[in-house]
Amino acid sequence: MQSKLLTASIVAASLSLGATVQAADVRINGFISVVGGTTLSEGKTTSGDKATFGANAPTGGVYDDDISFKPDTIFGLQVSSNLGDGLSVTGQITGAGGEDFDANVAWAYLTYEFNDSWSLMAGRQRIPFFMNSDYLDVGYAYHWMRPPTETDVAVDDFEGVSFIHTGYIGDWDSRLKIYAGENTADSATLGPLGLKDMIGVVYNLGKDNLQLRATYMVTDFYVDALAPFGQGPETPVSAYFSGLAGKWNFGNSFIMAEYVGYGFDDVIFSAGWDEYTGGYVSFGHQVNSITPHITYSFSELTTASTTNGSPNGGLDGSEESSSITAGVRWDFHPKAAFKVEYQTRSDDSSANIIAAKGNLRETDLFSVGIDVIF
Amino acid sequence: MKRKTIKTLLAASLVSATLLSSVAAWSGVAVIVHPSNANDLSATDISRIFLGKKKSYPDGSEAIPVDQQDGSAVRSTFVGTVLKKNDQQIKAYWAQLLFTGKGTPPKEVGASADVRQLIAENPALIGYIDSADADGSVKVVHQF
Repeated sequence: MQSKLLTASIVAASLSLGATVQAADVRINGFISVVGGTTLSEGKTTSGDKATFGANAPTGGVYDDDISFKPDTIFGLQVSSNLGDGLSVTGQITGAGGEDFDANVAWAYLTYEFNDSWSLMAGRQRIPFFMNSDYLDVGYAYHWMRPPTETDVAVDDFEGVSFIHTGYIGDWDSRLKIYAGENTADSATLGPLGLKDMIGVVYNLGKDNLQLRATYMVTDFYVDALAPFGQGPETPVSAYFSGLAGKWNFGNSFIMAEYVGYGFDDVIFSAGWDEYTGGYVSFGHQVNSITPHITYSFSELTTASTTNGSPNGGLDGSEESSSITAGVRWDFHPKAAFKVEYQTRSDDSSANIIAAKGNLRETDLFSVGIDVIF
Repeated sequence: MKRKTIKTLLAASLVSATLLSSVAAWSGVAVIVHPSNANDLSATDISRIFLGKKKSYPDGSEAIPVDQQDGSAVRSTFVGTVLKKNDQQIKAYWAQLLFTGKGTPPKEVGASADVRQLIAENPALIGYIDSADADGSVKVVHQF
């Protein structure tokens, strides 16, 4: 009797397994990161205010010397469906602490595969600025608490189209993405701004455990409030973005590095932004479920007076910072990771900028978090 | 005395059973397809299919990979040898693809016997099993 029941349930289980494998399906996946942190020592502005630590430029999450769980905490739900014949749809809704957990349609796009080599993505999708941009919100997908803030920009998604070509060059996997579109965002310092007539290219070359990446993009950049100064939506400023990155896994260790640069044809009036370079080198070694890691990251933003005035009190110079980040990731569960991280950042700006603004970037940050995927 | 002998015998047989089963678990991993699948598959082809980079066999027909359940020794061996990743690297890899809409991990279908049974019934499927579990209902395309 018992063995009959067992046989029946095994048969039923295999039948349902067969159905799952063959049927077109709707998938619901999610991720959540709960992170708490606080700054430990801070620089001061010229007016004596303590420097803060901007953890997430797109959502505006910022740490200060009170423990906060908001800046990095984020949840997301993704629904995707494969409709067959090469057509699939993907939607992602996220809520971030930096935006008071207001639900935000991060992505909504359809993918069409013309053949094994070419596919099209149309709709709202991620701007592929950095190597980690595509999964920026999914803490589980990388070893840090957050990718280095030195390579972080305020805009992250766009509405448009991407054409993707995948192929092989000998043993190497090749992936080319060409994208075009526009978007708008809210910046903490400049208010509403946007990118339009954006066109970019990303090239990935990978083999076994080595990944290489190069990207270049040109766009028109504008800030709504700068219309009176000739940098508004009707008279945008030409801008470019470029980046090189690589990741190498060897044994249970990995090393990854990225270098990016962007700049504007005209200095952005109120902020003085001119040319930016930034990057990082990160190393980690996994021992069973524990991965200690260390990262050096840096950024340098040259600022300049504009034809319309002097944004830095008549001071031209460069705003620079560099960080050492040390942390541990512990994969304590098949779907979850616990992380502890300490970052110490120093302000290396030119003396005239520090004299005018104070040690704005000098902060140490301690944070603890859990990343889950489901 | 007699009781002691029985105990010793029991212990010895337990030990040898454990040894045997661990030997069986390490007898190797076989990559299998439906017997009607005539494709010649290299280790690189298999790796690309299981990493979601390739969705068809060399003859152009659809390829659907199936995984064993998470935590299985056969799965770890396959992931380590053919996909050249450890258990955590493969999880992070799929998290990256899944949440960028680039791909979904293969379905998990239990242990070697479940995988073999499914593959025997579906020409599109490809899977891996303990070599000791391979029989005439499936075709072994790669073994290590």
